[in-house]
Amino acid sequence: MPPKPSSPFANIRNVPGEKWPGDKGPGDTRPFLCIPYWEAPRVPGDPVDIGVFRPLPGNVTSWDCHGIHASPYKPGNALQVSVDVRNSGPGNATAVATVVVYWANPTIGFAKPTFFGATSVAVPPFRDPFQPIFVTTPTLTAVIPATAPNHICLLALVTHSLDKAGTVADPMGDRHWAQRNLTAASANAKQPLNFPFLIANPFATEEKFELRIHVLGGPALELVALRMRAEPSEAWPHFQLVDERGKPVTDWASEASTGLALGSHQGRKYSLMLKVGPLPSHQVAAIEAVLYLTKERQAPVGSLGIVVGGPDIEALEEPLTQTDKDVQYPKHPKKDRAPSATDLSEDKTRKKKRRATNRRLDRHPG
Amino acid sequence: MEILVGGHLLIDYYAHTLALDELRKALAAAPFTDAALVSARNQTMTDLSLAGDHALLGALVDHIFAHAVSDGTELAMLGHASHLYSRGVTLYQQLAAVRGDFEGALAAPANPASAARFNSAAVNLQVFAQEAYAIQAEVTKLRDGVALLPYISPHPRQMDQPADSWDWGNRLLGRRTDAFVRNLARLAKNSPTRAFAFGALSSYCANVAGSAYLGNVVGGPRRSHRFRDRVARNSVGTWLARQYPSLPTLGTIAQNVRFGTAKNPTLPPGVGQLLNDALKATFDLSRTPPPPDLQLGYGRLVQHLQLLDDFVLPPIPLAPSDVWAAQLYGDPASPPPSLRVQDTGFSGDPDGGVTYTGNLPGDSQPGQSDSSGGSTICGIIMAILIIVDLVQAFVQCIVQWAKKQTCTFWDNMLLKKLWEKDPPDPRTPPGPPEDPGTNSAQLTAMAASDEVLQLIGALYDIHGQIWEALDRTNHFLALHGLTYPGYLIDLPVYKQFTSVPASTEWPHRPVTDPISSYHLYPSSPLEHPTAKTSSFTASATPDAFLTLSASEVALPLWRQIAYGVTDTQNFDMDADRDFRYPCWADKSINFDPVNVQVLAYGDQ
Repeated sequence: MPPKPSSPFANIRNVPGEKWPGDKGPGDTRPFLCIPYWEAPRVPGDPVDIGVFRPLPGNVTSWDCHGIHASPYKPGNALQVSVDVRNSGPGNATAVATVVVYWANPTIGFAKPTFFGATSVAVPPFRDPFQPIFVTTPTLTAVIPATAPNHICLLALVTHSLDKAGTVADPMGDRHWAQRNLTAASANAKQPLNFPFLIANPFATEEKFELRIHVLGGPALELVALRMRAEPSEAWPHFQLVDERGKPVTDWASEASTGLALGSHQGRKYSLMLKVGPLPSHQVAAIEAVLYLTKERQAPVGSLGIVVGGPDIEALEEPLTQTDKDVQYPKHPKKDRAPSATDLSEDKTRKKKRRATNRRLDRHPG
Repeated sequence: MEILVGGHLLIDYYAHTLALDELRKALAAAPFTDAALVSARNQTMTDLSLAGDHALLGALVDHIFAHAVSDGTELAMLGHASHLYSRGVTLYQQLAAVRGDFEGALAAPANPASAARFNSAAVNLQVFAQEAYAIQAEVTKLRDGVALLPYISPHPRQMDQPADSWDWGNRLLGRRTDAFVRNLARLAKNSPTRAFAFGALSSYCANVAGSAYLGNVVGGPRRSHRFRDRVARNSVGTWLARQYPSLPTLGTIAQNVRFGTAKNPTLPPGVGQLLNDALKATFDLSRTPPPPDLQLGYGRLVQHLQLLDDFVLPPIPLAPSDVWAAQLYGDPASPPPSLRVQDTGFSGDPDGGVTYTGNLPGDSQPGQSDSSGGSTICGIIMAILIIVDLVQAFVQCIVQWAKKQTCTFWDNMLLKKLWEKDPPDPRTPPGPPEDPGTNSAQLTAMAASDEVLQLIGALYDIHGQIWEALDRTNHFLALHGLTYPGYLIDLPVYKQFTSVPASTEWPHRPVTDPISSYHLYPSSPLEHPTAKTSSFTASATPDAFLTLSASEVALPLWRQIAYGVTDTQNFDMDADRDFRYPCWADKSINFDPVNVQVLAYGDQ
């Protein structure tokens, strides 16, 4: 018998308390679904994301799932979203999975996201974790109300009756859930930027949490910048967390934390005041806020990312990741067609207006 | 002991079609300068141009004989499977229509047309349940018939039967192989028969090279690992079909090799005569069973090709329309319930989900989930029972819902009390369809109820289960060698046959429990003498044998035939010990080592 190749991925089989089927015993043919956070090896020889590493590893940006694709976002306009899905289950049966997309105001911990759309998708099993093969859903289209903020969070879940998604929106801990949560803004050297957001308790019980905020750097920032076709900035933003009434909760810093208690599915509003020096064109800086559940060994519950760009950041486009070699991805109409004269005219107008006012960009959901 | 006869196929239809095309191209490109060769090539090219379909038929000559000597079990089972699959697809499409009508009518209950649409859908749903119920017994019969692979019979060599008693399917693959091809070429007198003979030459050479490839990936020859060999053969064919998109479909191949009237495909008389003459010229027929009915074999070949083209998956079910999806999935904390039984496996296969506390990822190597036992189609029956239960509860509850009352049948069904008297036992045949006679006011009252929302979610769930059952059926049939894996080719259990393993000795002896383990590379002892060297490098893909076939066997043989030279060997088309292994005899296959005696050219 030819020897089975020694797989560096073998260690993922050691799921505590669970039994690896091997070649003996009854076959387990259920799906093992996930929305992938990384679709190419993070380092050479590394598997793609098949959902076994949850909670997400620390070097994965939990609010920037690569498996969620979105067209440029503008309140009141149609938003197109598609989602990549992977089934790494041990059997040979294709699963008809259901993918549901939600949106929410900038939130850490999702209590009641708003329904965006649902679709079915056939996901055959891909059992080799080194093969970057994913299936993409048909494109879902819906209009986010014009009253929505310039920044929203997208949440997606994949579920199947034999591999059900958890009932708590938990992108960091549940492979069935994922989050795309990107806020982009132009840096303003004179005035702090103000980012209101909500911290919500996704659980049905009262819980204590710790919110930790820090400036993103290193490989994580490089990845975010790469996704925006930008470069990571060496600027080191400072921020201050303020509560709903404008009262400071933390000092100005580049790293801070605070504790809070929230009732069942309750939320609390905060704002992040942000100072970033003038950024060169095509550079971005980012701040990440992560909410931890105090009682469960500091388990992460949710996260939020704020990305700040230089003056030309508005020209940056979200690259639609297409790592799959075999599965046909649905086209994104706005990406595939050449820009019309109207588009270009609108672009220029918007660019001028934004440069003049230095207001936050609204091109990306987050 | 009576032995069912069947399953003598070597290289599959796709591989033969491709090998013929590759040989034609290689011959056209050969740098001949000798006038005799150039003239012979011109004649062959003219023949192929005039009678290309005869050449294709010649490339499938081994299949004609295999079908001719078969007892017809495989074709009958495939026909039964095709018929059932077609009914399953029809049911699936009917449910799509019912879902559309329910969702449309209940989303606009005040619309004057909605009540009639709802009532019609309610009747159609009951008809659907009746038809689903009626299909159960046939699904069970098919499953039990296919599961033991009775249509792939043991090889007579493996049973130590004397060669003179071998059926003609196996005889043509293991005795006087080169001589038969030469006699076909010699006796062909016009373009159709010459083209047929050229196709038969291609067939022989493709088997010599292709079987060697199969022996490498299977771990031994067809006689030792017949189930595994069958799946490998079909996997190789599927791989080639995907790699060479210009290859015709099996349905097109069936059309191309179809001669005679539209209703009765008939083996061209000239070809039939040629085959019989070549058999007489090649073998001493006084020492063999009578030649088989080639017309029967040809008719089955055409039917087989057509049936194999029937297993097409329909599009997946759509999620409920937006108005319903928003209600079903609007609150992630309260997802819609599923009627799927959780303590059975995917699509309801037994033991599929009982052992493990949580879902786990799979392995890239074939494992227990890929075995014959782990790939049954019980899920179809389970889905049918759920459908019947759902519909019966629906019929009993519809009146209460219209009165805004709760219905215990429905509530208990959601609690999975499937086998209790309340709700109805799904094993009881559903009664005749009843028109609920719902009026517009009742429909409006019903439309806002939680139960109707659950019904819409349940129908979507079941629709998905039926699609998965159809997908599962495709896998079941392919894993049991009845059909090609097709779109399933990247699954480890099939993919293992499309890449030669790292250097390893073969052939392996038969395994003790082949049905339980043919999805795995054999771990049984080696049969000595082993294959000395491999003609294929590690990781070689199936197209590697096409080059060997054309350049190493077919063109040299064609050249000898053109020159009238005869100094080649009869190669064993089973390639028991790799490429160009000669035809051979033995005293007993159970000796260790096997006493291999290479046959002289005239030995049969």
